[in-house]
Amino acid sequence: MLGSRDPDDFGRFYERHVGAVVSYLGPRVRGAEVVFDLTAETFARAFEHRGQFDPARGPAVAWVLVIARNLLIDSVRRARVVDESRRRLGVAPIAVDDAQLELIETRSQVDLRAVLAGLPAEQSEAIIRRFVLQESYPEIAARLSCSEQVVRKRVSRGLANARQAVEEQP
Amino acid sequence: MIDPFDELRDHLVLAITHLERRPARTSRWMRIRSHPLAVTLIALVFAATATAGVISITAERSAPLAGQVPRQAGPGLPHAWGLDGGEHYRITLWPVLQGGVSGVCMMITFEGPNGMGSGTCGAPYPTHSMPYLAGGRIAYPNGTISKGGALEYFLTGPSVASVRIGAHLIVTPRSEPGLPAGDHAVVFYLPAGSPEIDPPWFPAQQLSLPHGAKTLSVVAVGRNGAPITVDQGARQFRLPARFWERPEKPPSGACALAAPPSYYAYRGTTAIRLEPESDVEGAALTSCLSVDYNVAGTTLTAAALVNARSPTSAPPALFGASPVAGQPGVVNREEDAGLKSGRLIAFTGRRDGNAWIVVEGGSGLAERIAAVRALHVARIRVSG
Repeated sequence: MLGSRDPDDFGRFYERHVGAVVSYLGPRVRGAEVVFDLTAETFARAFEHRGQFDPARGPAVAWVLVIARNLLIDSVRRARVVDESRRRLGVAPIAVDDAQLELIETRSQVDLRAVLAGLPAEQSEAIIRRFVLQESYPEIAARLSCSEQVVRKRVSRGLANARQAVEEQP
Repeated sequence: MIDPFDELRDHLVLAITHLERRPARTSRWMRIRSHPLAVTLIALVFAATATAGVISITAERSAPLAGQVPRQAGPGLPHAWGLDGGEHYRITLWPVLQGGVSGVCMMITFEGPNGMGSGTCGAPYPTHSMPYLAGGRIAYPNGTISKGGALEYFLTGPSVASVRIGAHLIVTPRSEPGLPAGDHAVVFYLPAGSPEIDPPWFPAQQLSLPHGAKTLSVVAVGRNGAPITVDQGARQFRLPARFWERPEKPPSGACALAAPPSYYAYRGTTAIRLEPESDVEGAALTSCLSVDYNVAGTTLTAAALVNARSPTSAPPALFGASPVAGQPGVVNREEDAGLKSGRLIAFTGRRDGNAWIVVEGGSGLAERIAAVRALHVARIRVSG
């Protein structure tokens, strides 16, 4: 989707990963507006740097979460939400009313830890090792005494289950 | 109620659609010249006493802004966003155009089988209380640099003679073309297995290092040989600025540009007050305003950059830009920042009184030259 020149494909990429980004940012920042602005900047930056995404290095969700994490660090350091990519892309700030803020807040409260805890232990361990500890597939395979292919399968099934669980949360 | 996330998706898709329809920029792709990572190693071995053991300190000159990462694959496995070793790297800097900001955009790209890049905009210029211009950072699991090593980079201000990295490495900053006048580059390689650096411009509590992880301290040493005390709590200089967009009228800020009627200004950011940045060390530029114009179907951004330390004095050089042949007073910078992203740094500038009028975007150099000649500084009002 990131390699495509069709803007709608980027829209699909956004739809697929916005839940993960919001639930990553939600517990780490205070204020629904900040979550929303950082989400906008994350995807604007993902679009700007889409040429740098290499599927061989990991799935797109991990790549976009690293962007979110770096923006979060940058924003804390600069004491403001960075928004250069959004501005360069020409996406104007979106004004949100109270009801929308409430909705953003609800989405931000999706607890990824709870989602991971609900997964089979082998899948959550594979996901944590891959994306939190940033271990490579061969490294995880060596630690878990199984093949790389098995690890990849656990990660991919775990992500699919996690995505479904996130969508099912109120 | 409209779901704000749906609204955001629509805004993104719309912006991308407009972007894809913009006329292609005439780009001049410059190939990156690769240099071996030229580090001059002078191993200094001090034997204090026969019983005190040996302390070895390596002093090296900073590597250049473009070169090749050593092929020194260490043990273990590569980090997902780390280096493999042997990549050609390039560090590019350019001034921030966004109104109200006094800072620099910095990008590093690594060309290799797994090319990657990262960048940030808005890093403040070195000041007396924080004589560094922050570079990038990759967080490693366990706080230890993984296979392939790490290339660390940042700039230092004119007061810095050397930088101590941990207990055993001293790096001498390097002067390079394309940097803000007076600032120097500090680029060095840390092999796999090294602890991460603990950058003073980045408060420790935000580093997110694992508990107990060792780090390498970064200490700037002044021309008198004494360490420079930094103030991590120093407020980052930023002018109060307002973003506006049509149909809203531009606010009456500290600066204004005069444009011909064919230039339709549709949004921008204007500094409401313009104050000198007294703590800045070297040559620094502050953007007093930035305006997006639509000119006969193409869009371009214009900014007025002033001398950060003294906005009523002549501005320092527009770093990285060179004179354009046959266009007196006009400077230009146009280059590929690397990788396949197609990201092109392209801006053109002209001095108008005590400001640089800088234009980026448009359909190419000719249009940018026409724009910097058509636009004029109508107001620079310094507060206080």
